[in-house]
Amino acid sequence: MHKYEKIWLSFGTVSLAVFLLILLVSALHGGHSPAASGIETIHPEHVLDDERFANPGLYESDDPDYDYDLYFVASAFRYDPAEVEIPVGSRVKVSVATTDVIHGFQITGTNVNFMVEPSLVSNYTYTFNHPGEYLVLCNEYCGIGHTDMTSIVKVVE
Amino acid sequence: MTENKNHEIHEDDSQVETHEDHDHDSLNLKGTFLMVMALGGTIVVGWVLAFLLFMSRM
Ligand SMILES: [Cu+2]
Repeated sequence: MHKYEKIWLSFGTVSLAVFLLILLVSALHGGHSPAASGIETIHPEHVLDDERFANPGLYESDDPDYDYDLYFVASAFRYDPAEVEIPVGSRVKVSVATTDVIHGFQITGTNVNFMVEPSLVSNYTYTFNHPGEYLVLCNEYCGIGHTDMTSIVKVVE
Repeated sequence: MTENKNHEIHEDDSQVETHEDHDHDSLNLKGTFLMVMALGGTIVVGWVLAFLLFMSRM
């Protein structure tokens, strides 16, 4: 075999091994929820019957792992609430449910970025350490009003 | 007719492909090597940048 072939085949083999190792570690330790466990389901037509989503917004939490629960309802083509204030430095569990089709939920400039699927309550826990105004946007194409589907998160002192 | 033709090629030793014909040691693979490593490097750099972006937003 050519010397160069040995080099790039080794490079490729090592990359594959590293990738599989990362996959294994993240599957076991990344806080991933396998499809059959750790998920919460909700009927898309009865999202607003749930008291958390009937009055979405920021609520103090009883859970010692985070300070606030933040609930959002996503629907074509808006988010409720349209604007929310979060005290700087607080750890927030963001939970979002959709009443219709698949939407996205991205708080720009943060790692809060996930899909919102009908019949699932999607969530992500994040610490808001930097004050400012953050745009929330839908990054899953959901219809004609998709581009106007936004909200604002204000992280305040 | 086709069968006949194949048969003829195998009978003629000069046309049989041997291991020596595929020996890569004598080939100049410098350009291939550079392109393979450049592509691999681009993928690795892209991965590292995405990871650093994720970490900076934690
Ligand atoms: Cu949407």
